[in-house]
Amino acid sequence: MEDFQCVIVEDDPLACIILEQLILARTNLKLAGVFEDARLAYDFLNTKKFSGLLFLDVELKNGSGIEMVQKLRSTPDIIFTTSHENFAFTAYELGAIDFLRKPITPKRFDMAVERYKLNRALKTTPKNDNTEEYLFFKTGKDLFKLKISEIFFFEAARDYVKIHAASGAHLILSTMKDLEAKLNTDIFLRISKSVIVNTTLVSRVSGNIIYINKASQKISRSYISQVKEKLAHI
Amino acid sequence: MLPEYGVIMANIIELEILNKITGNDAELNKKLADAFSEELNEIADAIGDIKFYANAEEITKFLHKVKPSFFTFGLDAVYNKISFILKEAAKQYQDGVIPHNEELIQMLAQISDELNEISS
Repeated sequence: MEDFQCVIVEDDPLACIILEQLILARTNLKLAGVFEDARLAYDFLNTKKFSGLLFLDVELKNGSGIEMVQKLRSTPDIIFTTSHENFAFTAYELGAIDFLRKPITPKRFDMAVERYKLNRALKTTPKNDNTEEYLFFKTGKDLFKLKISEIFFFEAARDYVKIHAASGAHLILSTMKDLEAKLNTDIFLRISKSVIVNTTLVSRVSGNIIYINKASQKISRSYISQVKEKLAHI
Repeated sequence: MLPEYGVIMANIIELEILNKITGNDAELNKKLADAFSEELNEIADAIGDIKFYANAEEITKFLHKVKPSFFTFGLDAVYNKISFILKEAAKQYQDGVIPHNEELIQMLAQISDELNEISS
């Protein structure tokens, strides 16, 4: 099983103890460093070109965690820790894997780590160059292009949709309904209120779990019959 | 340091909440109780300094920073009360009144006592 390197940047002593304990108790998570000082953390992350999982406090006593990470030459995957209640939107905008509200519970921690593993699995999936079909997506004033064969699934994120693709996660301003209406329904299939998958990349459906390469997503009860019907014809 | 008070009240720490976070790990509970005890001393020192009340924005930041520690021990209501008292104290300070925080110090002392029980 692959080991995942983790770094904690946290100046809240209780949150730090809890995070350390949670990481150390999980066999495939390894603790590479713990910092409460933004400057020391910056030096470590930059020198090591750290590319693992960073648990980052949004507000540190001697600076902002967000500003610190924005200065890094290469950005690791980030799970923000915060006591702000409405940080989800900002976290998604910053391309974070997840955000954990303090105090952090084991259940919510595991959920965030699973998201990280999923994201990492998607990033490391080999590219399929059999098709040159692609889609353009709008982000701000720009358009960016993604090959259909590299889009794994779309996930609702409030007013945004997060595209999980081989190249990483991308955020676009859209509702799932609008997006679904524009997608080719021969290829893309809605499996829940918040997820649309690329059926060409589905490897297995087991019960209400759909497997897309190394990732898995839950099919909502209300969508399960139409999902199975649709996939049976492919 | 926190003063000692002889007031007997029902426990205010909710162990159920703490245990949910630590998975009933007594050793971890102890570690967290020790860390929170230290933090309480810092809080008591901060609120004991009259200059603390001069900057309402700093009080908000301070409250925000200590909030998770209180919530870890199920002290949501206590935190809300402390938050209210400190914000009122900042207003009093602006009006030239020296804030009295006896109730607040008493609350912190009780929490400290309960944390000692967890640690022992």
